Amino acid sequence: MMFRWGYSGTTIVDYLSLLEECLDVPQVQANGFIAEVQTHLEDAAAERLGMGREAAEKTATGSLGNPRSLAARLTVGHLRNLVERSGSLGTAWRRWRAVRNSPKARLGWIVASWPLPFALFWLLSSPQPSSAGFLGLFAADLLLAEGGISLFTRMTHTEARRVAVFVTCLGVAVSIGVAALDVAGILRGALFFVVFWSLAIPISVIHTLRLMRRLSDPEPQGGQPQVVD
Amino acid sequence: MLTRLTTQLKKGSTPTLLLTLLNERPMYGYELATQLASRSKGHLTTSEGSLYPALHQLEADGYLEGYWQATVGPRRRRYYRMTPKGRKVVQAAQSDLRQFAGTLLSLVPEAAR
Repeated sequence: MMFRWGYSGTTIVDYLSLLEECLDVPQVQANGFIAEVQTHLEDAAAERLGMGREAAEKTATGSLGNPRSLAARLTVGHLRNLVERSGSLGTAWRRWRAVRNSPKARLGWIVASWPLPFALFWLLSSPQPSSAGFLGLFAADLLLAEGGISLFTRMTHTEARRVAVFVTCLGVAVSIGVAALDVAGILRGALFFVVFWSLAIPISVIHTLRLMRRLSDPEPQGGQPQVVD
Repeated sequence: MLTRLTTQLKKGSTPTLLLTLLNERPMYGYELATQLASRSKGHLTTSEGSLYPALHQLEADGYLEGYWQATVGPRRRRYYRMTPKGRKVVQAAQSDLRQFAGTLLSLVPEAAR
């Protein structure tokens, strides 16, 4: 082991204390870094106990270098990873944009479109169902239906049929599944559940039917059907 | 100046050396440091301070996976093991390092003779 220039080591407790002070990362990660370095230092010191505990700890901490420097490197590494991760999201978004006319991207849109109106409804209605919630539900469903339909303008008939079958199955399954969860409320005669599901299920069916009709249109608006993948 | 050049050279090769060691079996930080020191006959002991940043970077890149394992008493050690992605790149990384080292040696007159 070699001492770093300008740093001659200290006790493990002091080293870890200064490392913790200088680390600028979330506490959970700081705890992980410190625990890892602590084990390292204890292992290194244990091998040198013959020279006395204090000297062994100084040698061990000296071999790792200045804790300020180590903390800075760990912090920079953490920040770099954060930036790279956000860069990955950016890359994913750019890739999605590049392929957004592909059948897979369109299918993704349809899959994503189902939970959104309901999420918006609950958000606007919280804590009690409200007219704003119902309006949000209608607006979101209409927007997503129109948006979804517009994405299918360049699909082949085979692709359109496959997606139509998938969307239909998904829509029916989601409607039935969620309604079944609220069946107790319906049986109790709770007005909210009755009104909600008497609206939500027809909207889902209309949404699906409109998509199916649009998908089976041999000459959709915006151009001839063609393979885009 | 010379010390800085040597340090940079060692630092650049650290990730490949870590991947090479971990390709054999999972190890913890101190074990990696001692293995590097003993296998390099003491030449790579100065990289100990950069060991953890390098390990964390390799982990963030998906080449390694870190996990805690209990040892004696309440102590735990953080082991690192190779991921499938890491196994895929280690051969290429070793080959690149060999090629780089060969190129460097060919440019140094004393070593080329």
